[in-house]
Amino acid sequence: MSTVFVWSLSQNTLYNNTVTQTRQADLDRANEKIVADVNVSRVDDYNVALNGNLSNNGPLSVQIVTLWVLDANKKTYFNKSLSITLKPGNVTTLSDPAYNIPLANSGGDLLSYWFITARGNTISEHQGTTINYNTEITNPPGSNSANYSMVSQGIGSVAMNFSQFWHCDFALKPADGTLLPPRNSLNYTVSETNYTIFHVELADYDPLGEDITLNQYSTIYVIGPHSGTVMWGFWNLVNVTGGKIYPSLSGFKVTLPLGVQTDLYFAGSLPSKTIDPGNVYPLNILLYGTKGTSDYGQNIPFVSVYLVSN
Amino acid sequence: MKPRVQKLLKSGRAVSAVISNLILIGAVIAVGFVVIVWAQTQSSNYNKQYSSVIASDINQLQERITLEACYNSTPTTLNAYLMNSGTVNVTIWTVYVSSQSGSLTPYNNFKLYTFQNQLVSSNTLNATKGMREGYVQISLLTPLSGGSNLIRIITLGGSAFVFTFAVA
Repeated sequence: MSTVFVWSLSQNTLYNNTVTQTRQADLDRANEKIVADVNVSRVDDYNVALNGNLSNNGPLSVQIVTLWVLDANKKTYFNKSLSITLKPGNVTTLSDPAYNIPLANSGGDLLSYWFITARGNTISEHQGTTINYNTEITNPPGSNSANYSMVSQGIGSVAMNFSQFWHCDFALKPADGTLLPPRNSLNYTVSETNYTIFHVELADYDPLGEDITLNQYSTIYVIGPHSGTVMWGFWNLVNVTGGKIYPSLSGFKVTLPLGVQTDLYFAGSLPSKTIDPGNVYPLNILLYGTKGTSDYGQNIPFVSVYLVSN
Repeated sequence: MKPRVQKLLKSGRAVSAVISNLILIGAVIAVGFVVIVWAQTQSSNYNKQYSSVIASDINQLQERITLEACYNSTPTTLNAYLMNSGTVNVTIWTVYVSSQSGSLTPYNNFKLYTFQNQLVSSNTLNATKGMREGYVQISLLTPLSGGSNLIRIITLGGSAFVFTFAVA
């Protein structure tokens, strides 16, 4: 009888120890505190990129095992196994190219991400292209705060993502429906003889929360000298859908939904000797259209390009 | 019957005090052994049952599943991506999914795959070694209603894990 009693006692102890360990595991799980200050942004129709920091603000080491990315519009998912261990206070940076994610998407799609920890926690997702606005604009976690500060400083309601400026080139104006060529490896060098398509990513951060629609008068322009005279060059707003360009479509308009990074394409070529090549010139985006029910205009001086003759 | 035995029975007296005591002690020892054997059998059975119950309870306590993502790949195909976040292996026994009427419908014909799309016939997510993550693919009887839905996973150990997921 005493043997049975002792044995029962040992079994009960075993059970109690397991209960204690399980409770401790649950407590550890509850005490994980990872802050994801990460932006997910579109690279092209087939890729998105994660950039930002993951910081462990909790008292325990945390292992992050899986990353999930979702395009909510297309309902496409992607998961990637990770092996990131963050000790308390540690910060890890996620950046290209390791966090370039192959995910079918379109400009303006809602992109979300979330991380899974080894203890089973989900690090709450942040929707990378939405903003929270009730009575005033607030910076969502991971947002590019520069965009908001530009808005607050009165530059205008539209802000540009400088990291998404690139261009590609045709020798001549392409026919409607032509696939865009690969990006030019030199982002800031433009040939005056090529037919150039500039890509910019704009977002509407209007404090009143109104959508902005840009019309065909929106353009990228450059001002420069030619034989002692001030000259202009233009690249007009064009329709690019599904990676194909439709340069002949007239009256094209683009709506910038509030807080959504939207892809815009401007295309054209400079007539020969319009502006003297061999110099660096500032590019401007002239935006014109409507905001809500009223008209809207804004000019964004954004990058400089080196103009070459071939 | 022999005359001597008949005489002994008729007389009503013991053969002798020593022999009667020996018989008594022998009987007690025999009964005692029987009782000991019976008690040991009983305690052994008790130990086995109790051990089994405790082991089952401990296993159940240590089972943990995390739902990483859940979405339709087709209107009637639901993929639930799971991770074993506990300390023991978990074998999935049954999956319930909320139907359009709101009640839970059992699906025993689910299939478990690795994230690399390899079928896991044992329906087991490992705890420490091997495959911790996998997805359960369920062929739904009817498409899910939009909004919030439930998925309930019953393990072989008897644990029940209930998760909510959204259908756009």
